[in-house]
Amino acid sequence: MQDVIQLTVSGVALGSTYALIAVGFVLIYKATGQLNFAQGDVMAMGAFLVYWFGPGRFGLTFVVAVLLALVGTCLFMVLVEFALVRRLAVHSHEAVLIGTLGLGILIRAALTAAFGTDKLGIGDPWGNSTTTVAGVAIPTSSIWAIAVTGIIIGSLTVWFRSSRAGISVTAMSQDPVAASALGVNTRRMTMLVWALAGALAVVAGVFLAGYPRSIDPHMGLIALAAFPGAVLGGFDSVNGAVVGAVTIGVVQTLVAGYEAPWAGVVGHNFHVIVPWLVLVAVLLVRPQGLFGTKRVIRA
Amino acid sequence: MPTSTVAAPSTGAPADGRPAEIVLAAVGVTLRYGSVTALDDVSFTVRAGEVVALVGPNGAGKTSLFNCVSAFSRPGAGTLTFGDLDLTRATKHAVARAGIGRTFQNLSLFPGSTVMENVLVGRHSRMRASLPANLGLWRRSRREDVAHREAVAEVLDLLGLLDLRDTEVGGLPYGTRKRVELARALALEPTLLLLDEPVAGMNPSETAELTEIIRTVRDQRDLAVLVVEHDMAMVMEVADQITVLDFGQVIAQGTPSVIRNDERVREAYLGNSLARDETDTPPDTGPAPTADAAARRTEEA
Repeated sequence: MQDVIQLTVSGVALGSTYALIAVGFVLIYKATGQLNFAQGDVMAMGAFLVYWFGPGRFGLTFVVAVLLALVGTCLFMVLVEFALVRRLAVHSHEAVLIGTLGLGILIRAALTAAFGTDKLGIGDPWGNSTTTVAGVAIPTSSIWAIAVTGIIIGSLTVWFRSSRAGISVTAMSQDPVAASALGVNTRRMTMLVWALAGALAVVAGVFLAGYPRSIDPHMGLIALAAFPGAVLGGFDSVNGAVVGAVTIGVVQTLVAGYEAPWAGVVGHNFHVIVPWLVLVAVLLVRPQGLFGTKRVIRA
Repeated sequence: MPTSTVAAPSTGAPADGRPAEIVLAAVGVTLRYGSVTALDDVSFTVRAGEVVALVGPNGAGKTSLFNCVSAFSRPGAGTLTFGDLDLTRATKHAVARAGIGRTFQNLSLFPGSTVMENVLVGRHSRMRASLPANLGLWRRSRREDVAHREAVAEVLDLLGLLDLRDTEVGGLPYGTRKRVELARALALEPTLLLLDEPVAGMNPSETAELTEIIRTVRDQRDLAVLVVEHDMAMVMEVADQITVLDFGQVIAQGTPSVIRNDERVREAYLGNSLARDETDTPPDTGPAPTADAAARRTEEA
């Protein structure tokens, strides 16, 4: 029983990091109709920036390193939107999709060239410490991951409903033409959304790199498991993305915890492909996901 | 050339001689799509407190002109100015922020949001842009938020939408959604309001109601209104000035009584379009009978 609880909490924590990535996917998709397949690699870049500002190069304290990584990644995303995405979006959303896939590969290569392929720690303060809640030992990093994600998602929800920029993005996601006729600067809002997705990716990177995991240039591929989470949630719903991503995290962790006896049948790392099996199942059974809008194509 | 005579701004002067300020001035606006000339040397003005109607058969260029005014299209020649703003160069959001509100021919609402939220977007350009205000952290921005909500409530009250403020727009009936769209445009506190077929698809009582609302806001806010509408009875009732377009050219300009008696309009638009329009519009909104009805009504008055 303790096992189940521990695995579930770890799963929720992993799912929370997936949720941050998934919300990044969904934000950009909702606001602009674009798919950013570099989201995972941007996350890796963010984690490496934390390492670089922290133990890797400058030795800054963890919080400062994270803040600088946030700023750096937001600026990077604004640059990507301005220099690449905007110019590809003129042609088609597919051009953006392929462009961001290419960008992801570039980021991975650049990180490998700069930092090598060793597994590195980012100097997070939690290490392998655990906190005992109701007699169950839970990794401290898991508690932080869940709490921080909860605060971020909650703030985002309030922001979308009440701030000028949030209302603008919400309006733009439903009808960009009407939004611009009402004074919404859609170009600036697009940049803002890309920056926001970058910031979410950095936070996800910090938690995905925490003990017992570490950073390496390919960690972005692991984070792509957030994509099935977003699809499960419905892809055009922020809250759906959170529910979907957490579900994926829990399922994946439970499978990882109990797959050993079946290793002869399904292999040793079956949990790695579980999110993608869920993706296929969702697309077959309920393509609009749990909370998504069912698309009606007007003839 | 017919356009040289109708371009004279004197036709746009108010009947009572009051020198109202010119809000929108179009001079020689020309727009081409490839070899098709959508607008050919179109000139007209809209003054504060004045409702100007653009009429003409389908494809006459009314919507093209609208799109030029709201900076969705760039005319190839001519000038189009809103106060000091050059509308041929301005960005779409700048046009809205300068005070041009518009509604769309095919409703363009945010269906997943409530009536209140929809109309709040219209307040967008009146909101402060500072970061703390954006984050909703600043106390002052909270007070501002309350002020915006009060302004929105006022508009909703005017349009009879106050009870529906927390209802999602997607499920509302068509006529109501049209009113929400108008409320959203009014929340912008525009000095010029562009209405693209505001009563299309409405029943007669809804049409009368909306006509009254347009009059009310024009008088209350000294608003300039540019309206495209096929319902000639409504146009005759609400418009101070009418500009008639055909094949992208202005064929007549003047007050409703001038337009009603204009031979060229009768022949080129009302006459010819009788056969043309009856095939693609419901008979009860066909232009010829309703125009006659409007003529009778004003004669009785």
